[in-house]
Amino acid sequence: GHENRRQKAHGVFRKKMSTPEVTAADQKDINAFSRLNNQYHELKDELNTQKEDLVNLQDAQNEVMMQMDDTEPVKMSIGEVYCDQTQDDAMDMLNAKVEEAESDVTKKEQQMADVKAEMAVLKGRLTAKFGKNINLEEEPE
Amino acid sequence: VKNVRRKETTREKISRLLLLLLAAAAASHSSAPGTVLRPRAMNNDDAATPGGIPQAEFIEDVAAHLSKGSMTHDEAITQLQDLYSKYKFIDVRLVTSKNNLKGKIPEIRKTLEAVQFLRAKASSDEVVTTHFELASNVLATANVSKAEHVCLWLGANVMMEFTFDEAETLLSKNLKTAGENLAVVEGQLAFLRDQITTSEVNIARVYNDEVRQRQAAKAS
Repeated sequence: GHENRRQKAHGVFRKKMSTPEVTAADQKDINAFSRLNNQYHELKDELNTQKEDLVNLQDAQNEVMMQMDDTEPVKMSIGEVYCDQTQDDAMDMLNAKVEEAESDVTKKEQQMADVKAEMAVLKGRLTAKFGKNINLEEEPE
Repeated sequence: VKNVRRKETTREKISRLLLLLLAAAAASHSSAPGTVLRPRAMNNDDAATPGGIPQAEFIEDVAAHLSKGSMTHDEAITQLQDLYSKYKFIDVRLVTSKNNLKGKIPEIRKTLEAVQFLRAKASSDEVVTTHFELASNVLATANVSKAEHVCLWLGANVMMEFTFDEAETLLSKNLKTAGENLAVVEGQLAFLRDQITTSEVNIARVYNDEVRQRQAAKAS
């Protein structure tokens, strides 16, 4: 799970006679990389949930649109109960929610891209110094 | 909240009971949205580090570190591992805290949404036809009209009646506090992760140094 991914990607040193010494600055970079890596995985999980929510909302929109009888009330989930709504009201609510969900997904994807970019910079620095002596790769799922 | 005692009309009684049931359905969740959350301080009173978590000293020079503590490699590693396990312990606690807060936030949001929905319908004098869970797998229908109050679960099986204004204020405040607390816990976790990573690297380096020394001794 998360634990394993973190431990494997943080920076594993192999025993080599010619290993360059780790300085405090290097440690800072390693710590930053590890933190960002954790953050990235968390964001990824959150994004998956958000995408699921979005799909559910879009499915709901389709269901409402496909109603045969326009006058039939729709049961909208409010809190823990279902409230009858006119189809128009229901669509309005769903449209607002879809818009919010789409914007959340976009924001999350942007956050992930930013984190990935920062990680790439650190990875470049650390691999330049330690080369094969440090493992910053993602373990395949 | 005033304790006004006058005879309820049947309609008022039904409205009140329905709102109770609406909230009862929400109470099946362990975290009550109405629970007053206390803001969490980043640092304990005298702590210089987030959450009072001890700082892991980065070992600049392994040999110096060993001679300063008059330790063998093994002793140094044991000491480092002790600190490491302390960190892992704190890690579990903070992660649990974080997940609790992460679960609470959408819950409070949903409750707030329900209150705002009810308020909007009440102010436009609409009757809300609600389908709620009467018992497991059994839904009942209720018509809610002219709602003026809302009941919120405060936790510890205590429920309190609020006006719409009061309810929205309380829930918004709780939502804000939960978000702030989450930020504090995440800050402490980030600091902790740094200490954990530093410890892991320290242990690896002391171990490598020992291996190097042994190999050098063998070679000579």
